[in-house]
Amino acid sequence: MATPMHADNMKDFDPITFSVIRNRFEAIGQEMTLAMEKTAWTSIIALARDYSCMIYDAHESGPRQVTMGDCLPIHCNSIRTLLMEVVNAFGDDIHDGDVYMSNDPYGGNTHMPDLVTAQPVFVDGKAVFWTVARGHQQDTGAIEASSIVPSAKSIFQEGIVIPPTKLIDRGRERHDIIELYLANVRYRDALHGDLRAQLGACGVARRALIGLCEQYGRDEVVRYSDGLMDYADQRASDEFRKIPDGVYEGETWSDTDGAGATDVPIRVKITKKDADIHVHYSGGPPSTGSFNATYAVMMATATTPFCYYIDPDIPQNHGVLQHITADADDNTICKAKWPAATGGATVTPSDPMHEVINIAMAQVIPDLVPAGGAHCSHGPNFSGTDPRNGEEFGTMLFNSSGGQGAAKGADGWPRFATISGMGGLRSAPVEEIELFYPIRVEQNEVETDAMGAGQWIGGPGVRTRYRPIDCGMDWHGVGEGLKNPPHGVNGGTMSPGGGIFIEHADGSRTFTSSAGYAPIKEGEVWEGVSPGGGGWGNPLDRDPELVRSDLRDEWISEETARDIFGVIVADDLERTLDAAATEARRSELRKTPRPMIEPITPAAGTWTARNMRDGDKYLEAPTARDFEEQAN
Amino acid sequence: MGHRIGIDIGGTFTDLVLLREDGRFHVYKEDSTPDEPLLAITRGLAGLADEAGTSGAKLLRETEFCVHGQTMATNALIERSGPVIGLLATKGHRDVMYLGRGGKPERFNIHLRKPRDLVPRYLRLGIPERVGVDGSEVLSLDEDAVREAAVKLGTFGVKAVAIAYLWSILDASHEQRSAEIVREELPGVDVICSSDVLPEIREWERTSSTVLSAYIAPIIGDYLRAFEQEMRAGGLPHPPQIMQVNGGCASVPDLLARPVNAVASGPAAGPAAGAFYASNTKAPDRLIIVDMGGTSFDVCLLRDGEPVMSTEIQVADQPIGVNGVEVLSVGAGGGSIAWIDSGNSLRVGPRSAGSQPGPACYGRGGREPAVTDANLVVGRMAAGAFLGGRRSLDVGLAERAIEENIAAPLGLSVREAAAGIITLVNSNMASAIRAVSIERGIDPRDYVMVAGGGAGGLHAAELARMLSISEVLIPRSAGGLCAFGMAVTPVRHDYVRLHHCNSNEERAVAEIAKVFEALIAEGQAHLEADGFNSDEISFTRYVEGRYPGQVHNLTVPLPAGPINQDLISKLELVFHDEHERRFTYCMRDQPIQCIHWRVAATGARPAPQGRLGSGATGAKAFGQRMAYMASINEEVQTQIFRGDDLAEGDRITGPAIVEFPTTTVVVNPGDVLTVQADGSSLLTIAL
Repeated sequence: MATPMHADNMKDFDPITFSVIRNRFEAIGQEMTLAMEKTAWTSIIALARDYSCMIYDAHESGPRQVTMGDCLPIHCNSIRTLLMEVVNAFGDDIHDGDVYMSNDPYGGNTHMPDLVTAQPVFVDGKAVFWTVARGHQQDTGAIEASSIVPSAKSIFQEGIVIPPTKLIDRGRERHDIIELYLANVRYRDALHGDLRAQLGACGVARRALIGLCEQYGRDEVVRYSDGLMDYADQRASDEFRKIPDGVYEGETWSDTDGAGATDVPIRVKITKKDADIHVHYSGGPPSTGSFNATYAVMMATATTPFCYYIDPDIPQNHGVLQHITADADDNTICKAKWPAATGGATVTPSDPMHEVINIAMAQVIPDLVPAGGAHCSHGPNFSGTDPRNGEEFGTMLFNSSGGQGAAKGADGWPRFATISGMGGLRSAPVEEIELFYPIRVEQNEVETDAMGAGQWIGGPGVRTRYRPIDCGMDWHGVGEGLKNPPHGVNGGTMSPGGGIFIEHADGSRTFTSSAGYAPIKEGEVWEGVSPGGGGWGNPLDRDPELVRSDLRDEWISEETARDIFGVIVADDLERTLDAAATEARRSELRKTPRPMIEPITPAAGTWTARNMRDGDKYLEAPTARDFEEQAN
Repeated sequence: MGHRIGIDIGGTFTDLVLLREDGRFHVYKEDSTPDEPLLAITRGLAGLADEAGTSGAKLLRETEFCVHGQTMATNALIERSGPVIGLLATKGHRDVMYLGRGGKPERFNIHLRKPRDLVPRYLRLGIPERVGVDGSEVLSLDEDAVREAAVKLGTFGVKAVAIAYLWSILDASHEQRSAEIVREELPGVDVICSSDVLPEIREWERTSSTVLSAYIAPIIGDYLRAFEQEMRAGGLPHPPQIMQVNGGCASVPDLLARPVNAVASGPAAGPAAGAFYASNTKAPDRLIIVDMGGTSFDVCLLRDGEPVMSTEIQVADQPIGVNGVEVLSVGAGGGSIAWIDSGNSLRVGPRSAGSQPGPACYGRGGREPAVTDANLVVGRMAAGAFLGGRRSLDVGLAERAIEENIAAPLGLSVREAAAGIITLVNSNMASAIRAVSIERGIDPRDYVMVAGGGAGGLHAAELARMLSISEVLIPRSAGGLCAFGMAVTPVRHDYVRLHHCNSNEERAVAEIAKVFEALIAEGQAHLEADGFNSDEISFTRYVEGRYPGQVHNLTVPLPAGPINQDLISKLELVFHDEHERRFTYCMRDQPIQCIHWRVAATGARPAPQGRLGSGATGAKAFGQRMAYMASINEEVQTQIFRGDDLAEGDRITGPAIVEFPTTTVVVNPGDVLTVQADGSSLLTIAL
């Protein structure tokens, strides 16, 4: 067997009990995740699944990740910083039956909508674990009816800040605290329901962890939990050591900072030595809007790519995460300074901060890095008043999400929302959207030629049309990645990007950046085409039979098949491959070498320019003022 | 009353079970013939008749119920080996199946490939038409477009066409008219509408259910019609019944109206088998039914006499949509392979050695150790007792595989390593049971375990102990558990209606009564047409609902009684309690927003009580050997019994091993095995 054995790390453990306890932790994490999904009230949690559930230990050095359910990496790879704040704030005052909450972006949280509830698990009078749930709330009580307001000028426009707070005190709910919270947010009943779901999930895991400790003994379970981290540490170390030591740099661009600046550079310098990695970010100036990276977001984005460079079988616990450290230059978009707004942080600059690591590492581990994936440009938030019942509504929809970047051996997946979540977000059933909100989904379908080409192709982008019915509604958009589309790697082509526009009643259209605000009036339609993922490897190396079926299925056009993939097919029913013509075409195209990374310049996306017609307008990061002026 | 026959096609064997009207029963295993499944059935029936001392023709003539479970529907989906089919969808929404709910499994595995579509995109055609959320027509059906699409699909030689439009549950006329047009253009092609297969909200599940139906209809249609013909020609006096995923059976024409019900139907017979066998245990209506075969471990529950159902079952990564018996299947079987990962940790499964090459001890070239090898090495299985002595196992090969792959790298003896493999696979199975019980607020201590499958008896008592379950029943015919379930399962038809109504609304009582009245009338008529008398027909009513504003639903049974305000209050109580049990909290000040109303209509005639045939001579050990007992984690001198010798009332106290023709039962020290009237083994666990 080629794998070296490390009997040392396991010598203090019964190998059988070790595996048994490992499986139990994973099962508890999954059950916790399921409990939250099934009982949540808002579509962003129950349908989009923008939440994560985790188990942490209560180690003296601070809580450490034991296991995560089916989590979003942006959530789970960053929660230690928040739990440390809870522990620091309450110290000896943490008791059995307590539950804590926090959403403070300057207190270790990702961004304000991610409300965290954490419950210590006491066994025989001692705290040994934490059960933790982090869910994106539909509302935070911000200046506008959206959990993320790109143009927010400071944290004071983003809603109610909750530093570490005792929500349940030794089993007794603090109604005053719950009322304080609910009095400050929109949709209070639904958010109350989500909070109950979050507490329920923590409770389900607590019940199971206590059972586990009763069965094996508290201290034994803790000892094995420590052992699980050592085990993951050892397996991850072996894999990290295979990456050559060195300093690797990369650069990419964010379309926007959410407040008017465009093509904002994001840079990284990665120092890889032995089994440890240090990620250092720098970039453009801080956003005057809400696209500033919090500390937690920076930690999550820096660690996530390294988690997928290694064997996915390795448990994602502290033993892996401890190998990666990160920091960022002051006075950059990568490091928020109080009281800057941070609502957009989990997508921008998080998405480019994530991609830039893959760009930097492509030069040394091209087989392990994916091509660029669609950024969170197509998760529109709609809000307004439902004419059917007169009630306020608000929803963030991921049905129009773009594609995943291709990787060696695998085409990208569609509706990959988002890079931060590594495809963990879901889209809502069209019929549920129409039932819950006064919106008709007129189209939600794959767009031809909307992905990067390669030996492996990116997941496709989709075209989506949302029409408000018998009312107008407000649109808030976040993210970016339209003008600076997902990159191709190892010879793969970049994604063509995508766009968003409002179709007016007269047929004219207003195109916008993906971040911004616009009113959608009755009779108007919001339409978006999301970017597909970038391609991996030279398109001329793609199996011609796959290209033939891609063409027949209208993933790609005949021109793309011929000009990019060098594949020629007959004009018959089956689009039969012309092998000889294909070979000749490919030899010709091979004379032009393909770059390792494409693009290497900002603003390479052309979708919007190609798709605008005479009479159409373009607005960069629009705000309400743009439309007031228009009306006047 | 006549005989009952259950026929279950598995991968390796076709199991046939005969329950005679006098209560005696026979099990016969025939090698499956995957290319021509009917062949194995014909041979098997002859073998079964032989075993029962009669002729095949006489046997069939005297049979009242003959229920068949097939696997070709599931296999075609998993292998993507079905025919070319087409899909008509609302224009703008033809990628519903491909896009699903979005999301990608395995967060950190970027090299994971997406499974191939069942309908390739060039055969998914958008039709201009639209029904709105309130059931009104937003855009009329473009009939020319339908005709054009049908012609196009015809040129590609599709064998079936699925039609699934948005909101067809509120107005099915666009789907139904499209179906007429397609049938005109493509005679002989199966045409299936989503409003017929799954009249429920959520287009992905409904489209999937329809596409799955279209994908398997051409395959099982021909097969089941041939099966019916063969059985009738052979003398069967009534039409045969086909096993469904809902745990009951239905006639061939009924099944072919909703072919998706044939998917994953085999394991769904578990609860019926459990209910039949466990009638004399401490909790006959609360059962945990486990089936441990060669590659997987299946677990399902009978709760308060009803199988635990789910509408979220997926097969081959696609939702089936329809309500089915919830069977949790994990990769833990006799063939599951033990291995050591790069962190030096012992793992078992999910990879399986299958039947080819099989565990190392089969001597067919397998070099990796499987669970069966471990059981053999520590004396729990006898080299000569496998499959009733039809196959001999090689202990040396098993020892070598464990030594090389597990024992040496971990620094353990072979027998220690083998014991470790058993402990770990037990733990994996116990986790699966825990997931469907404790972690959903169900206390397994209130339940009886029924354990089937060839490997079930080896592990059942140990699983029970881990979960503090005090009684385990191992049927005499453990190897053919599901075939037996088929023989005794009722005919079942499920009905569903989408109807929004809050439990606190005044209109609730009248409207609910009306909905159920209609559904029950439909079920009554259907079952009467199936030949059942009124007193053989029963109905269970369910409500699928949520707190207003919540998104996901919870299904609870409607308490018995006439529908009035009192019953609605009881329903609210049941819902709150169930919500609290599963999710730790409930909101008693909230009404229930009811969405789907379900009726399960069953028709059943009482099956005879099973009883042992003659031939038993009483419990007397025929030998002893050292065998590993997981409850004490050591090997002890163990008495060995032959199952065929046991008679009703015999008691055996562990440590003991009882070797039946299709399974081996391990009785741990202190546990007591009592032989039941039907020959089953009831284990009382010394907790």
